[in-house]
Amino acid sequence: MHLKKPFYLLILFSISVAAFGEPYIPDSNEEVLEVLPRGLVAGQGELSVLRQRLQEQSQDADTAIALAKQYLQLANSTGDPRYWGYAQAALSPWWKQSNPPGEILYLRAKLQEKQHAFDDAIEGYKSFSEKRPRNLQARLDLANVYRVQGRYVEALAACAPLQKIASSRILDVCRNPVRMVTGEAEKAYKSIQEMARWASLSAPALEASNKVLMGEIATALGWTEQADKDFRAALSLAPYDLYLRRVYADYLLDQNQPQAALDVLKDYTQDNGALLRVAIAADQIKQQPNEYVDELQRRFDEIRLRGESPHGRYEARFELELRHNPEKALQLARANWARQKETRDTRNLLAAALAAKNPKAAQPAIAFLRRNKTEDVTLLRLVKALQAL
Amino acid sequence: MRLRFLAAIFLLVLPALANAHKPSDSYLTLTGTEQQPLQLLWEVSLKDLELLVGVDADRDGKITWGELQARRTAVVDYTLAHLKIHANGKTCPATLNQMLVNRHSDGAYAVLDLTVGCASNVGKLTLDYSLLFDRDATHRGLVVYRNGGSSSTHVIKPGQAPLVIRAGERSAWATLVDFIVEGVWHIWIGFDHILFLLTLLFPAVMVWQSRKWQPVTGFRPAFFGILKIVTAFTLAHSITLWLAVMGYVNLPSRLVESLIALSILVTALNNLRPVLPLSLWVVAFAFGLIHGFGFASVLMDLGLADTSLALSLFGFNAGVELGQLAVVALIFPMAYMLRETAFYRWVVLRGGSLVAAVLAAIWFYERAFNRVVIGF
Repeated sequence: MHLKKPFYLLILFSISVAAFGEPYIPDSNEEVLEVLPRGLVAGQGELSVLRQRLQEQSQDADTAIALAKQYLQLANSTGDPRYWGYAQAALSPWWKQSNPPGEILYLRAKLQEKQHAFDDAIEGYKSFSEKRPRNLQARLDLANVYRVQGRYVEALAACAPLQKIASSRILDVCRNPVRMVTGEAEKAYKSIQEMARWASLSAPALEASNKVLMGEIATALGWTEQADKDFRAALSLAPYDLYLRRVYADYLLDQNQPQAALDVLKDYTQDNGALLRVAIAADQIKQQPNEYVDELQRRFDEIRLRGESPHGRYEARFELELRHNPEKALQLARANWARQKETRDTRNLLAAALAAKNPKAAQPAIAFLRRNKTEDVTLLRLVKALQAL
Repeated sequence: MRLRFLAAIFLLVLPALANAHKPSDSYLTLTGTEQQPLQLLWEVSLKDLELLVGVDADRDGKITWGELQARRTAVVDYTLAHLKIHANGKTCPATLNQMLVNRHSDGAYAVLDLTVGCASNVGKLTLDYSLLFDRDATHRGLVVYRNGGSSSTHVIKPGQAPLVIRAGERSAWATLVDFIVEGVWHIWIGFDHILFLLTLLFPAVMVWQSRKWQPVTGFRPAFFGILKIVTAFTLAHSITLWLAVMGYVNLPSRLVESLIALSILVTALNNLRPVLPLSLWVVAFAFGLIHGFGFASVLMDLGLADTSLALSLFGFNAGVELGQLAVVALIFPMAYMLRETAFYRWVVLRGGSLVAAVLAAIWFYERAFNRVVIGF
């Protein structure tokens, strides 16, 4: 409510500013205040050269592209969204142009995807693909955005041209995440197994992500032990992959192994998604006091203070599993599900509807799962429980 | 080919929707106290300062208190060059008392404890903030202003006009006058509202008869025609202004702004060839509802003082009406006197409507699709 907004923000501000106590003067000159991301330190020389050049010539597309790419990579490796903002600023002369130079078009679409401006991102990837029909990346990205939104027919259609410009393996790489949720989970699993040799030879970067996807598919199919094996294999290939650690932690939480889940993510809590799982794990092992919950609340508050909202996927789960507030969780999960429909989004909606004893609210999600013939033991268990209400 | 593909996979497998803590913010706490100059605590993230002035002198990836202190002058010079504070038009120089440190959810912040060289009860305080806006498109300056019992919060985004805070303890009368002035000012600079009003007023001294615009015969029908239109428009936008400010209805601003452009387009086209089976006052009322949301976003951007919501709402609305009446008072006599001339029919009514339609179409395209064509 806007009437209350000023008060509310004021309270948030007070909480936020006072959250860690008053400003202080450190005791010694040696006190370390901040540890900079590794990527930033390593790329410092190149970054400052590019920055300097762009400052002198802000319209120089090549410099802007190079700098934006560096920032994107930094954002990806640290999970710190400020670097997306830096990347956007580097591209600012072209940000509102209807037809920017090729690669800027692509990078802009990527940033729009990160900001959850999916329609803009789709438009960008499409027009970039028209300009550079042989570029694989934009098609993979386009299919991925469609998949996130639950638009599977369009996702598969976006993959299709890959067959002409690349191999059928790459077509599979594009299609497998969609097959996983459209009744072809086993087929997708087999396809990944079959491409293992090819991947280890010609696309080693794919190996880890393939293993993660195998773990996710195995989890959905209820192959519990196989999933554990796959996740561990992925972990040995890509130990710092945050996405992997988050889904593995979810798997462990579902297996009633909160301590193991906590260990997987406890060094990664700078990321909100990681912090959420750690807080849930700590809650399940009855850790008192659970400072992770307070920390997460503070982060949500600070996001609100900016006039934005926390990611609905996280906040819905936070309200349901940590605040035990099913009504609010349901409201958040519904709003989030209207925007994106990955497995976790659907699960949040079903779980919240179940807890709130509101099976009607879950109907669109149940229909969506049916329509797409999604196989997922956890989701189906929730559907059953909702129908029994 | 292979290398390119690797890059492709690298990006694809990254979590599509990772959203770690939050983008960059800086926190400004302004405190006014009786008989003392304004105090400002300004908290800026060390990660951002590293980008702006470079703090990690030994490049070991760790910023120590010693390193931060060594860059104190650079930090203060750079930040203060990106914040201009004015009180009633007069520059307020800021001076550093001391530098401290604080922590937020995304890491450590340098805290600049500043004295702003202006009295606390200044009336109109202007903050022209531009820190990081050229380097980070998602940066925000978050301001809280406190003075005695009253306080307000504000979010500063790139591309906005300088933030204006009504500082000091203001009397109810002064607040009312402030908001009336803001309302008038908004009508004056809100070119789209004036244009909408004009497209409504042009045909008000005419009637559409036998497929032609004919001048109305007497003063009474012309006057009451206008009165009906203005009243309907006022009533409608007052309703939605109130609903939006109270938080009962909340529409995205892109939608509202696009609809406002559309309302001008439709009205202007209807002037060229009346097809809407409605009286002008009904059109004025329907579209007035949309314009009210536009007024609301302006009013909320002004920052409502928590103690004087009703007053500011009333004042702003009254200001909007006054501004509107001024436009009517200017246009109506001319329109009435010229209504029988070919000049009025062809140049004012048709030509004016055509210009309005073209302008509105461009606005609509710009606002709905987020593009820049003419840029105002």
